[in-house]
Amino acid sequence: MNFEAIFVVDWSKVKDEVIAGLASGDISIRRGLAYWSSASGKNGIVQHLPFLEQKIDASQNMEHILKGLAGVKSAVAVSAMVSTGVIVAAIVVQTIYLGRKLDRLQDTMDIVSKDVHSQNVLIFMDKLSDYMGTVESARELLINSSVIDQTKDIAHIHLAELARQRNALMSLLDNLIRYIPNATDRHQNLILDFTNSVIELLPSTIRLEAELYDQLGKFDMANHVVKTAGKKYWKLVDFYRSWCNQQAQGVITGESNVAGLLEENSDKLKRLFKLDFNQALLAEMPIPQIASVQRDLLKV
Amino acid sequence: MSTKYREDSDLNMLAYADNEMLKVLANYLLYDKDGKARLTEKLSLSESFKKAQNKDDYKSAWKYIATEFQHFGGDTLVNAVRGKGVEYKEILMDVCGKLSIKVDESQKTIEIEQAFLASIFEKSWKDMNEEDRRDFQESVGIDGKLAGPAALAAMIAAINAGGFASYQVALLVANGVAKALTGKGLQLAVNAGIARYLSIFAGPVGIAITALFTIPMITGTAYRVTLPAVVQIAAMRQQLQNKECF
Repeated sequence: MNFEAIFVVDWSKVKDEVIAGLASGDISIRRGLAYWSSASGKNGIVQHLPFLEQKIDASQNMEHILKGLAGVKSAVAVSAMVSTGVIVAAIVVQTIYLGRKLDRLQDTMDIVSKDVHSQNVLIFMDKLSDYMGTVESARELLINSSVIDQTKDIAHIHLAELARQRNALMSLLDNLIRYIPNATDRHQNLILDFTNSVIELLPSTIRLEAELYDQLGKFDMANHVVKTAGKKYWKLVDFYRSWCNQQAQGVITGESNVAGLLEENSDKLKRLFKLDFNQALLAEMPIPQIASVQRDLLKV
Repeated sequence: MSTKYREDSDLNMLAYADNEMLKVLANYLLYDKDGKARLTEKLSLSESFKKAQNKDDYKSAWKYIATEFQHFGGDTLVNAVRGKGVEYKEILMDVCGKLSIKVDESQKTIEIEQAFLASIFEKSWKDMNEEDRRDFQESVGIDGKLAGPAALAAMIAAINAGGFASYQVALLVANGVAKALTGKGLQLAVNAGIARYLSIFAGPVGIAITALFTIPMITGTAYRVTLPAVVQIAAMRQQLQNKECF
């Protein structure tokens, strides 16, 4: 158990026009602020969103945490996609949820790197290790938004690194998946588990990247990252699902050596392929239309 | 019953099988034609299987079902050590041998199964009326004008080639066998086309399977289990080939 306090939107105190605007696409929520979207014909901030402190156990999986917050989510008529996206983003940024998952990944990586001497796997582990470090640093910048003017320069460096490392990682992940049948039984399990964890976490790290752009007021870039990285992510998920189906077909025709592996992980894989909160994290949001005075402030 | 599943690459697919199809397979192993518990079965002694059976969750018990099947296979083969499970392909080859189906061990399991299903289908073909035959021929893409041995040869070739014809025939044969032996057809979610043929074929397949059980070579208790079980497993494989598991 690892209870942490997080601040989630108190939807019961959110203005009706914000709630209505979220449904119509006239409002966009970024970093705790509700803006008029560019499609609304208006500009500026509509409301600083009210927050509610909640305790969550960040060591649990996301579905479990969200279940515990169900009361907060269903209080008002905000679409599940929007409220889930906002809550999951808050959990990812404000708690050590991601850090814990990354630590677990690091432990698996250490075992795999030590035992598996495939160059492909080692390169992948190396890239992932770099990416994880940058993600954690980016999260540190996001925790305290009041020092944004002091962290702006570092944030730009982090954003460039995040994009580069994320792309490298995503393009190597399919190699790692293809490698699974060549590994020993023990390593097959470790690599599959590891692949599942990376695929589960990627939408969170992509959203974190977008949140950092939001923090800098670069809303178009935030949307661009969610859109382009999201597209690559779903392509990767499709590839992984196809690979699993292909391996399962191999089991059906008696030609695959991963029968036990797929059977043991069947429930985990099915869960992974239908994670609602990952869809919510990668859902595109309307672009805020900020007032000219706010625009000037962001240029500082 | 051998307590341990003998690793068998041809039976691992049962992990993905449909629950209802597994239930039919388990029932072949558990009960005889009159619905009485088989004297030689040991499956029902397994606590894990019983728990799964009570919850109607045969998927979680697939290994117990597979183990029992391997055990029955052991009872049919004279060269097998009694009580030790036998791999599926060996049982399949043995059943095919008893039915004089020309297959080779070097062939893939699925190809042997297709030949096996084609053979049972062939035996039931003569008991179908002309109109149903022509209708079915056309449904699997064979010219309805073909008749007699030429039509049957084309059908057998289509089944052996795999694809939709073998999938459809596998379900029709498995349904006919289930209906003849348990009094109940398969509970399948299939399209209306296949559903219609399920009832048309149930009778002729039932006649064919009942006739097979009168052949002296396969009257033993174990064959009364392994033969329908092989039909069921072959149909499950065809069904799974048309399904996405993830």
